[in-house]
Amino acid sequence: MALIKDGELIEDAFVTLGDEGVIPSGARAVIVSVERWQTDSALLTKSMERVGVLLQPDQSPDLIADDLDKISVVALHFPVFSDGRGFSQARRLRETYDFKGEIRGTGHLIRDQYLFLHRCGFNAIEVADDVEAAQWKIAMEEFSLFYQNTVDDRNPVMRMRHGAS
Amino acid sequence: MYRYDEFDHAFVAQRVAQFQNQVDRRLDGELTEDEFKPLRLMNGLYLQLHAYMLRVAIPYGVLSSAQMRQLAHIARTYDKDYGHFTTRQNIQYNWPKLKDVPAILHDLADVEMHAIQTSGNCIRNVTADPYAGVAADEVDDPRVYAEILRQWSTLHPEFAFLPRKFKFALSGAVEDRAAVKLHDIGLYIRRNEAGEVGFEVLVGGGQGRTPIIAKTICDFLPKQHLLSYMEAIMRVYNEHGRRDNKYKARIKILLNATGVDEFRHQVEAQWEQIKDRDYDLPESEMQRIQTYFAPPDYDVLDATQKSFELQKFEDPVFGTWVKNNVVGHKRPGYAVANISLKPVGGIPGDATSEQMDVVADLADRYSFGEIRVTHRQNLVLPDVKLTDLFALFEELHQYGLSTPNHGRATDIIACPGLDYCSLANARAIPVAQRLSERLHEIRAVHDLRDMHLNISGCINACGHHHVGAIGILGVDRRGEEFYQITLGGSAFEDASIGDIIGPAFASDDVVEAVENIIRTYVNNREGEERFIDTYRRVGLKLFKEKLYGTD
Amino acid sequence: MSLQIITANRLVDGAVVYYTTDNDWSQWIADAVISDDTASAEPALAFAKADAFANGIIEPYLVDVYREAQTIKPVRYREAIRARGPSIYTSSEHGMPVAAKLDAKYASAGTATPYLNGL
Repeated sequence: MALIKDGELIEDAFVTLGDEGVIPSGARAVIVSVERWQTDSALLTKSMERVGVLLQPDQSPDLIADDLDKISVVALHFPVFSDGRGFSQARRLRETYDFKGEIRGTGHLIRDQYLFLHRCGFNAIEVADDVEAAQWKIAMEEFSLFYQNTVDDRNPVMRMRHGAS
Repeated sequence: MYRYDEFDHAFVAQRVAQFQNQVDRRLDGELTEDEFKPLRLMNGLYLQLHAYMLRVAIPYGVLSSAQMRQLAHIARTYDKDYGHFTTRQNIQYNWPKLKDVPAILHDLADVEMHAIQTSGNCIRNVTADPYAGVAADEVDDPRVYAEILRQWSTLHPEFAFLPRKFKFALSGAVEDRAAVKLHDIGLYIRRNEAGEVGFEVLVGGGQGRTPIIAKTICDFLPKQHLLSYMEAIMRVYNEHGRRDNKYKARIKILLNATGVDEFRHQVEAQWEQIKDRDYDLPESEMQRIQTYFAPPDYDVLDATQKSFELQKFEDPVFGTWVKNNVVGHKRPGYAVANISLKPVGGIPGDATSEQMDVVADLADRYSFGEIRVTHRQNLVLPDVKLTDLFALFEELHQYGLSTPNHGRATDIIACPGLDYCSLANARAIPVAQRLSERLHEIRAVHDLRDMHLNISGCINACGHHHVGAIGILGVDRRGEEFYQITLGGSAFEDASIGDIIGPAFASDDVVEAVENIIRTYVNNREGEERFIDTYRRVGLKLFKEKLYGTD
Repeated sequence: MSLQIITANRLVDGAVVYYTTDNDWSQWIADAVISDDTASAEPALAFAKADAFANGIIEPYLVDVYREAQTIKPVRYREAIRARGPSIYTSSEHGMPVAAKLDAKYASAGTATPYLNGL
């Protein structure tokens, strides 16, 4: 899998492990499930340069709230693109816990969601290696005007109207 | 009314360009139907029984004459010369071609309209009291807050993929003309003891297969916190609403499973996290929106106009129309005129292009160029001088728009049913037509107020059958159309869900059954009692006995 | 088992179409190719689905039908309405406004339209 970050296709430095998967030799960064994080966090932080945690849509960010300073990436999984729970999880990570690391979307996502994802705090999307990043970039740029203030730094219309930039 | 500024115009233009691109990709074969379907649904484009159907948003039911003319133009140019006004204050076109839809959206954008979020599991068109701003019983104008909610909910990035669709309604008046208690979120505008404006927030109302009356989770939300509080509710719903079963995915099911107190607790906990994060509108923006809803330039008039009184007396036809279709206005010498889209034997909510043009012209001449659409599928001219009513009436009459049946038994709500809709189990329109023709022939029926007949062609309840004084639900019984009747529903401030009276009726028998029910009401009515009051007083049993016999 | 035909909607305008004997699509139900067993209906449907875009159609599915005289009729009334169009006159087909029609009707009987009387 590759990542789309800021509209560009980049190589993923992380290895995503299941609950049981063995850490490949040479791996310096891994993403593990919440369950595995909760049992192995000490070991993982010691042996890895960076650690990420994968949340399923029914797993609250509260589960990792106290550990966020040790976590570089929170991956939020979308079993199907129409399951929008990840949008709220991402916002809570940014708002409630002021998480500054990477929030990545994994699973079934479509390019027409890219802008929404970004506005909710996602800054990386896991995609197939052969995806056309240019198309995702276009989707990101289809709108330049926004009616809500969110966790991104886009200036919403309600401020632009009154001279704020 | 609200007018787009440069930002709104640019935004909608971007949306049209986006959809043009999506349609091009579909027609080129780049997108499969499975990929295209969610995209077209986000622009209100369905595939129905015979053709595509495009649903166009009419924000809180407010239209300018220019917008109405454009709706007529679209019907004439791209469709079959008519449109259908819906119970959500929208308009639907039944025959657009896919290749024409970008051009239609372009034409809509020219008059500050669009089809964004008229479908899909997102926040739908916000509805409101059709008499907003002119009602004599109003605390504050709901259009201001409906517009704020419209903008906030438009392409809201967090709430575009909710468990299920989500509907808001607002009322700022004593009488609830917006069916507020039957929405996912309902807002009543209230004033507290200090005279400040805020909202009573109701959650979890809805119809469909599990009809539920909304419950109050906040007695008074100060208006400046509107958006942050709504975000908190939406977030609790987005995270916890059921996604495993689409029939249990609405917020009403979550609220019932969670309990009101616990739900309120979750919302308030979430709200605490975000209330100070600048998600609410700045005061300057609230004021900017408010200025668009300043009252028009009313003349100072006497409350009584002699010529008008004389016209009513001299022309009883006009007098009847005034008595039934015209209601009071907050300004002396003005009135609110209801235009019925329920001609006897006609199709509820339909208007031809010609009729739309006529209404637009009449609005320009007699009502400051403004028109409202009601959730009962009629139109309203909100600001007519008493002295103009006669001329208005005469012109309406020429175009089949003067039926004096506002709130009467022939003012029937009906969804498109199986004549158009791919979800329907039975037809609704022909039943409405037969009922209308029959009831029209019975003189005793004409004067019954609030005699609401609502017909749905399936359990999704677009025809609001649960809240009709008499509700009719079409069902498929072993390949035959049958109709189940409910009594005692109300969509008003005393909202209630109708009770099923008994076994369903075959299509041929349903008109007679309704007539029987109305006869029982008329014969047992005390004074000027409304159907709902007689029903609540005498109960289901009497109606049931009269309908099915006593054995 | 009952007879079956394949129907779909046309991509470009949504029109109701039927799969025909010469592997084409027609707006006339009479042109539909009729399968009398699952063995022939399923492969035809699979073919229609597999090449939906080339055929310019969307969402093909099977419809139960029966023969009556020389015509094909759908078993379910939903499909009968789909084949025939709305069972009502659409509002633009009504022509004359209804109120005016009523007025004319009662005027010809030498009386005023009744709902306007005595109220």
